[in-house]
Amino acid sequence: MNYFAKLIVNFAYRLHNSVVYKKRKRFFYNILENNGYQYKKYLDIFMMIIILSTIVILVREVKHPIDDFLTFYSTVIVSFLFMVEYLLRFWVYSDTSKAIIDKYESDLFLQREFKLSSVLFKVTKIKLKYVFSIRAIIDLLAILPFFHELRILRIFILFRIFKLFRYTQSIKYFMTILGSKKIEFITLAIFVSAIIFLSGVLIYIMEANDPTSRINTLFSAFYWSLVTISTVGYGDIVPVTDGGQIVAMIIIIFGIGVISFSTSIIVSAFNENMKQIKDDKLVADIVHIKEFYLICGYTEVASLIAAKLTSLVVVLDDDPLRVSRAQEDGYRAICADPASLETYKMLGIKFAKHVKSVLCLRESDVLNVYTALSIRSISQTIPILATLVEKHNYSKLIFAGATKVVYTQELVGLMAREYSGKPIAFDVIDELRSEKGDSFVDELFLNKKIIAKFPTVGDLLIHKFKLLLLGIHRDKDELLFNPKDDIELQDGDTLILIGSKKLLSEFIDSLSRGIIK
Amino acid sequence: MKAILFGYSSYAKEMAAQVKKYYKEVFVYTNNSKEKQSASEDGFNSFLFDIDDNYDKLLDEYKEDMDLFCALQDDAQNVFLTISLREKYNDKRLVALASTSENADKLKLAGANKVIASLETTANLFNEILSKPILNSVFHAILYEASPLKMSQIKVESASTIIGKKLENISEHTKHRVIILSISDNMKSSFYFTQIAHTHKFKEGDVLVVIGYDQNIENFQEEIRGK
Repeated sequence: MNYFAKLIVNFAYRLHNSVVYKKRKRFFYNILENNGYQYKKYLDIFMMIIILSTIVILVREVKHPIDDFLTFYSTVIVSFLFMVEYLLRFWVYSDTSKAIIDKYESDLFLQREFKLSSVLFKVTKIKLKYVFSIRAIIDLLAILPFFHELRILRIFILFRIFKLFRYTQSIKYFMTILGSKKIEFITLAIFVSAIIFLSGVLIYIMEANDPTSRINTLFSAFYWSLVTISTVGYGDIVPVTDGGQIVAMIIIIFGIGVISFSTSIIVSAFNENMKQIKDDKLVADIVHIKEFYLICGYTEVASLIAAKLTSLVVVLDDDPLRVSRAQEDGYRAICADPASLETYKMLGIKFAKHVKSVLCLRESDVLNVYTALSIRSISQTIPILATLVEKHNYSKLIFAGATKVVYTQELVGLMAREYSGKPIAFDVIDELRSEKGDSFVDELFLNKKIIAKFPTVGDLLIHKFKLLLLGIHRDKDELLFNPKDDIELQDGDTLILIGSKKLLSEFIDSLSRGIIK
Repeated sequence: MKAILFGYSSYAKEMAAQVKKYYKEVFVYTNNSKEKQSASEDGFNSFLFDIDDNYDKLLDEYKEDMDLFCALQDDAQNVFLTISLREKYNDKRLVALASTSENADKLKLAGANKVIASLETTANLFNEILSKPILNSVFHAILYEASPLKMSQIKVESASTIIGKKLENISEHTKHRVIILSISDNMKSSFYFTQIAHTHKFKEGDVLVVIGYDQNIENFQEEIRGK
């Protein structure tokens, strides 16, 4: 390996191992390309404002003299910003240092000679792929007005409009839909071009020598042909000879076909792709939800649980029927395997940040164990609640990482037992917990602010609100049942209160205001 | 007292295992021979029955002294069974199992005293675990686990010291650190919570639902019993 190659490889390693470099590159990648990145939208809005402002300046300039600063802004400042953006996108498009290192290490492993030229060729090929992409070409054309001395290049400001596509998600979706019918559109374009060419030539032959006809150049012949086939028909120039009018009749018939064909292509493109686009949008939107419960498996019990939860719910299920049922019920539901790590990678869910709890409610213990294990491999701390179908699988679910396992059959048995022994007491608790009656039971968390105002139980004057203080939950498992008035309250205590909803909310309101009358 | 359990699905199995604590004997009636065998293996007296059977003859030997549990797997059959049993034994306590709350309403109309809707119960439990976790663990311990804190129902006897007194005028519960949660008249299923029943005058047959430590409840019960 020659000295220069060694230098390049060392430099590649330096970059690859540099935390600062990687951090910066990742930041620029996120802000430019990652739709899931929370700050990207601000850059998008900023760029859209810049683009629109240059268009406004261009339009204003047509009939009115504009300030020198605005010209400087439009041609120099904005072009400079676009150039910086172009170069950054070029930079983050691929990882050159990694490509060099990979090639170097594979050659070292296979005991081959490391050729810098071959890896540079590969890297250049990748970068050129970016340079010749439609988006990069538009970006480049949008920079051209910078060379404002060449007045013709100023027209490239219009290319900045196309840059809007980059920043507007709905235009992207629209283009994606149309893009799915690329072959049909190309076929149509070839067909229309052939008809315009043929009819243009024919009409020219028929009309050009007639002094009364305005179709006397090839340009006007093609112009007339395009206007006619599109069924617009301005009527500014018309064929006057018999031959010309016959050509016109034929083109009109073709025109109807062309319009119908293009309409049907667009409609079918929307029909075929709208669901996919909607699903993609749903997936893209999930990373923007601040907090939600993740329900894995939209079974019957899942629909009941989801209806009771007050926070947002995201449903994952691999059964399309159940997914559409969840969507009909108004939830964000995605058809994907909840047990697959790929699903979470695709969704970009950050468990620690976004997910309050995971609910494994699938139809079998096998699936719930598999799902719990997958989620636990991503997050060690996220609470996982699961239903159990067969009692003997309880330990497996716990082993897979479920925090709480609910075996409904056992619960039903316990309820039957309690009802048999203490029917009234059971009904009382049932009524309190169901939240259907006037009286109910609630938890009230006490913070420092409240305790500063009300240091002891007696200071809370609970009896004034006709509430019952069942107990104070302190630390992890300590319950101070029926506490006396002189008990001192602590930061983090949770009161368990029973009473009417109205009086409970009045009490909570008084506590937060710090005044109890 | 005997418990007559209809059905032996996984739900009924748990019911049988849990309620046997309160009954001298549990008899299992099922329309499925596999379930009958399973119940026998679990140590219960089990019998085959047909949903169209004459229940008079079927349950003749227990009718003076039994609670009924309808836990057939099929909700429609369970409703039919509940109606049939209620028709014959209108004074017996009947607990029924339903899958959904819609079927629970039907079972209530059919005459069940208490209906446990399995899906609804699970959903409520999940909701409570997620929104009120502390409350959930406290109540779960009081109701279902061997917690020192207990919930009990105490009947006011004819000689009770609290008869004729208002709740706001008694101090026995405060003395023994017991919370009176609700008061119910003559073992009826209707009750009212004590925070709105301060002016209620205790009378014979009232049932108090109390929460407290085992010994404290006993002491409280002893003190209000009278001679």
